[in-house]
Amino acid sequence: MDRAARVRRVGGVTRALLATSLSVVGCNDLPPYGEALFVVDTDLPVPLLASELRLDVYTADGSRWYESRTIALPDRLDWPASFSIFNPNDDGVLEALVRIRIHPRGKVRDYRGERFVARPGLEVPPGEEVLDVPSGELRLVIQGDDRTPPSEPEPTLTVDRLVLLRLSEGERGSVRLLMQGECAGTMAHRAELGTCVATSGVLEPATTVSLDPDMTLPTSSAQGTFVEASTCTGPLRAASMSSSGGRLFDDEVCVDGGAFVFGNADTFGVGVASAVPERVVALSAFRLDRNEVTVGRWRAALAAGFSSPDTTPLANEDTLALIGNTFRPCTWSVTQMLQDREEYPLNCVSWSAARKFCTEQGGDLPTEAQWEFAAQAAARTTETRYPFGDGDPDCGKVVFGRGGTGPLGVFLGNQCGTNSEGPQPVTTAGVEGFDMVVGVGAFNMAGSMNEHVRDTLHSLSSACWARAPLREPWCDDSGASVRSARGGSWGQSSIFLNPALRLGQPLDIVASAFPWIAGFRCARPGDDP
Amino acid sequence: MVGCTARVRTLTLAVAFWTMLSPVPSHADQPPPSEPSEDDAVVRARKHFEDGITFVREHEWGRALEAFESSAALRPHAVTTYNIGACHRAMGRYTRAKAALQDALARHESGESLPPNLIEDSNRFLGEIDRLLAHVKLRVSPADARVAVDGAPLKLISKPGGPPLLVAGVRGAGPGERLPAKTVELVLDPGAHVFLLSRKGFSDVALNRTFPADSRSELAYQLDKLPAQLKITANVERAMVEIGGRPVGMTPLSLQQPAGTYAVTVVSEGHEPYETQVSVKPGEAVTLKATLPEATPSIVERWWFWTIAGVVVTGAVVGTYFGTRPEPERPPLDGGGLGWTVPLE
Repeated sequence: MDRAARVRRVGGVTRALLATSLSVVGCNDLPPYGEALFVVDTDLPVPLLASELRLDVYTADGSRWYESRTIALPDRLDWPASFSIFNPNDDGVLEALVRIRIHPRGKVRDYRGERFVARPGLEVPPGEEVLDVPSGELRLVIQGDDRTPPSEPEPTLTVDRLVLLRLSEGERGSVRLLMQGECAGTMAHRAELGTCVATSGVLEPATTVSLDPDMTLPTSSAQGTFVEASTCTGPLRAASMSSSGGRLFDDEVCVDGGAFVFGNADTFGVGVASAVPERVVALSAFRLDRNEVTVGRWRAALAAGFSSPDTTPLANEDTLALIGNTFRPCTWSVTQMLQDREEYPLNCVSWSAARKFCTEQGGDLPTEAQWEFAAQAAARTTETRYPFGDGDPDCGKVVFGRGGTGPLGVFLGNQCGTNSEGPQPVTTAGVEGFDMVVGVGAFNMAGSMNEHVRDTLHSLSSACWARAPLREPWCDDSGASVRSARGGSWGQSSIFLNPALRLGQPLDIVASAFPWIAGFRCARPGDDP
Repeated sequence: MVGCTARVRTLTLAVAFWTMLSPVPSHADQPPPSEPSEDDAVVRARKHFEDGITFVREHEWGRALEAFESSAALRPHAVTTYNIGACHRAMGRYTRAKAALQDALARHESGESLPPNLIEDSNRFLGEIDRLLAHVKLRVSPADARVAVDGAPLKLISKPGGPPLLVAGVRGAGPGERLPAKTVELVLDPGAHVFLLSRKGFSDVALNRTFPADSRSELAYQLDKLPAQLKITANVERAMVEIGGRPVGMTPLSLQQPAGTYAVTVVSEGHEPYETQVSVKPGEAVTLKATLPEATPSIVERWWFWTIAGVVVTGAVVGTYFGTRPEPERPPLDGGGLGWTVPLE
């Protein structure tokens, strides 16, 4: 036994002797304070969606706010978190309204009084917006000092729970709360005592909690179980070759299921393409093409009987060129061997043609949520700035800013003007693997082609997105003429490489200003045979 | 409101009047080439005036305004000032129109003759404008916050001793200025406006408000103090940070706090605690680097101390039991893993 342990043992024995002596003479003859030991756990992934806890305590009628604490809990070992609320009086019963919120650290909004943000039910009539209903000021005043926190958790990313607590002298026990990811974004209505318990978008009346006599702390946590640890059970397509021996780049990767923050508050102000408000999204596993669909893969599909539903992809029977009158940026050509662009990503292709291709290959275009999840969050404990990581885009490794020195480059972007201009083969800059998605293994989700995704381009605060569920959401408005696209392209500046930035392409790609930046890749469910 | 044709006719009369007033070019010595003579100024002023009339006929109010202002800069006159007011009125800039029409009448009173029909029109326009302007009772806290409306400061038009009355839209672009009182009466054109409120140490605020014609409303706003940023690091990993005795997280830690003075404690097992007081101002960023020395074993951590103490104290307790009765105590609170014990009220 080392010295420290011996000290502790002797000290402990001696303290026990003292305590026994004192208890014999009647020192501990008062009952304990009424105490509720709150044990707070979550099924959300830590720290990606749960890394801070906020506690607020009000009088039972909600008229006065007298306690507020915030603590960062970014480590998985920090959960479950536990703390006590107690009745300091010698007699009588005290009641309180306890509000507990968990959210990703840093995702807060200014506190300007109690502002209830209703998460509408799943059935919202078109045209209705998410309402922000002020319900009056409430300030935290302690001994005459206004100590109101300047910010509060962002409601769209927070699990928000209200409980009523009633404690009398001597009454002790635990209150075990599981802050479920299903409730992320369903803000509690403090004034009306409505709170989400287990169902997204549904507020139940806050109830008085009963105390569990067992006050032992748990040794395990439910964190990360919000989405079942799902991976692809269907086989991944292996890379194949064309009849002429060329690579088709048609192999797939598996994107394991998970939950993440969909959207990006930094894109506020970019118009309809803004990815705000942010929201929690849960996805099950799916398979994703490792590469953008290439010219060669499209040609092989045509040979196997596929046909485009329209006149796209637009053909270019000459070399690629970007300067002045010789502007030929489309990669598709009917004459294969003459142009030798089989390993280039297909562009100048419409959303309808892309979707038909994917569905006939057993899948579909990825949804915006799937695309963003794969690009920025899948297989990572924290979201990366870009699909390839957190560093700045490198002209030698990512295909962007190659609009050339002609008018197109000046207008769209020629940051990498000294590098090869125009679209590039999927084997970027001749070295495969540079623009690789961290943890997922797909290529060129940043730059190369602006990839069609399944959703209509509507603002994330529109009724279409307000209706979308927490799990597998997407926005489909068949009456709209613009579909969403992601990832930036060879002809655009690096700002468009932000994975959350939403761009749009009209359904009539021929009438689009920039059909030559439009490409795509396909996705399949993870469990299809 | 005067119709377009009548407006043009009125301005045409003003042209004729202006022509009558123009002086006969003198035969005085020519001025230095670098300085325009009065005659040159009059000639150019007349040219601008006539250009303005042409633009009015073509309903190009903006260009007409520019021409009349150029004319007034060279040779100010009540008629030109009237025309400026008429152009502002045509473009819906009622506060500026009112200021110009009042100026034209004042010039008439001081000797720059204004034809009777223009006097009548001026008074009628002023009456119409007064029925269009929006009135806002503006209150800003803190009272010394700077206020700008649509990118320009306000102009005080009330007389000394009376309640502060300000007007928006008559001064050039510039930063906001402090209000003369905590509550003021503000007059502005109907429609949408942007209020920019700012004060050092507080969050800037841009308010978009729309006021109907002839409306009276109130606008009160309290600026929020900028929170301060507090960054705390320590020489040991995951030391617990307490502020005011309450744990708030583990190092390294960045957090926002309202401005004020805080007692900061950083503790870690096996180390001496770090305690300090820090004062932060609104918007200030402060970094604290806590150095926690390793704890040296005190006497209470020596095994023999507890042995001796146990024997002595136990004997004393037993020996003095019948002499004193200790105060009853309650069992300690649990506090959970965070060590928080929050009292109900």
